[in-house]
Amino acid sequence: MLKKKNLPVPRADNVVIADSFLSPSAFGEIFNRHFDHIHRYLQRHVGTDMADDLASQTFLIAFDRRSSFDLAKATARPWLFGIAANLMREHLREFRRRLRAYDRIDRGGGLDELDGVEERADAAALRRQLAAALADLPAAELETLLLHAWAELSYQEVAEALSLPIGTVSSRLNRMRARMHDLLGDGQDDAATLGGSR
Amino acid sequence: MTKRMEGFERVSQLFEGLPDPEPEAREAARAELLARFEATARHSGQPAPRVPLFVRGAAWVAQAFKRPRRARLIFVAACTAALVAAAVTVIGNDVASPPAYAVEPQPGGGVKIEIYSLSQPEGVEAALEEAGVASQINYLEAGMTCREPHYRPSMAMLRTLAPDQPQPQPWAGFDFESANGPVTFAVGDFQQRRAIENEFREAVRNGDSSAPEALDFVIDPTGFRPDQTLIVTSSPTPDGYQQPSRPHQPGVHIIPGTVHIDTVGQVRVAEGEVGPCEPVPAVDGPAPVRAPEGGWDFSEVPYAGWGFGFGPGRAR
Repeated sequence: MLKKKNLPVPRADNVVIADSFLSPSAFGEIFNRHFDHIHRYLQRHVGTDMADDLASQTFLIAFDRRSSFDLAKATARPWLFGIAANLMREHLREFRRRLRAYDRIDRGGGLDELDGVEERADAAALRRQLAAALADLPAAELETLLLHAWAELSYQEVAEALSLPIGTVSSRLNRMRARMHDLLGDGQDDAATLGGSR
Repeated sequence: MTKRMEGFERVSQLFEGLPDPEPEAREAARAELLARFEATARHSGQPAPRVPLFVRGAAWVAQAFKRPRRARLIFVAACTAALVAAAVTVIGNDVASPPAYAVEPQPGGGVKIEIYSLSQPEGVEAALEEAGVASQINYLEAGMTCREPHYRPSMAMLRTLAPDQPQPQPWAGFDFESANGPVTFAVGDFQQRRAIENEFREAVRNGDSSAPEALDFVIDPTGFRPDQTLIVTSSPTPDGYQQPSRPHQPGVHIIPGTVHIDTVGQVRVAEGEVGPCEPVPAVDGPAPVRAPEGGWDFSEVPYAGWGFGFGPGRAR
């Protein structure tokens, strides 16, 4: 029996997925690597309970459709987020409702660090306004924006996730960046957090 | 905040800082996925899904270079294929026995060599020779290995599939543990490897369990110098053994489960003269390639194009 050695070099996602064609359980490693990220992403949309279910579904679907994964890609992240985003489309109404009820759902991480009641109130109001604006975005734009802003996928990765040309992703995001700017006023980019200089 | 997020900082703060999934939720999802794995294995009608190869050795390269990310397991050939044209030749022990290996010419040149059992190594050597690759194929009894050193290990320069990798990169061979017999490899080039792999993927997609063989690796003969030799050493495991799923990453949770390993071995490149393989009991598995005193001298590896492809394995 060979001595077991842990590879100091993790195998890339594509190698793991290639293995899983004939050894399904190899796919477990994809779950281990990405489940928490996918869960967190879904949780921000629909809350914990539904995210538990959707994150689980994401990986079942990914496993069933693993032959659609492009083995030339070293990471499965965009592919998995694409599946998660697709699932979210079914729950868009719930998500919009959450955005509109933002105030009651999210107490606003980071707000406590702000000095003064007024600043906190301003920041909270701004977030509420932002959330409401997101709730009114068309589905495709919202999805593109959040894959970028929440899942932290690059333009290229968002394009992969949604099977869109990168130009489409880029123009959508640029358009929305301008819209954010209009909505939130000048100087928002300078503020590291809400409640920074306004 | 990364540069690319610029302009969306405030969006990224919405619903930020939610807790990680509850361990119970994670475990429930994992259990559901496990059930799906099992259902898939049952559905395919195969007694045990084949894990083509557990390959080690890329890590070794990483250690040598102290740049772990440079070592990846997907390597592809860089140069053109050897043009080897021959009729399909299946060579068996005798009429009654299943063949020990098969040599199949590929469209566009090159050959695919499938080894079914650890016998007739000289036939595999001859096929490789014809394809332009000098080799020493050592099939040993269970628990045996060659007394080392019986050759001078060499480095090969390879190209990899990963787009973010430096190209080419050095490679010193690999160890394998297989759940379904010895390695399957080809002499050819990257294009050919992809063609074979695509054929395999298509068959898997269509649920064809008698899928054409995919490859464990591809040798590009144009990357071989005449004084280099491919060394393949392989032996069955004594009674087979269950290979537990292994962590490949520190801190990564592992789905419990095992695969049945029936064959182990090594693939190496030798520089210069190769001595005979003298079988000795393997104390700790096949002897790893060890760096010579003072480390490897990479100044002597100006050539490129020795290819290695790691495909999705093969179904039988």
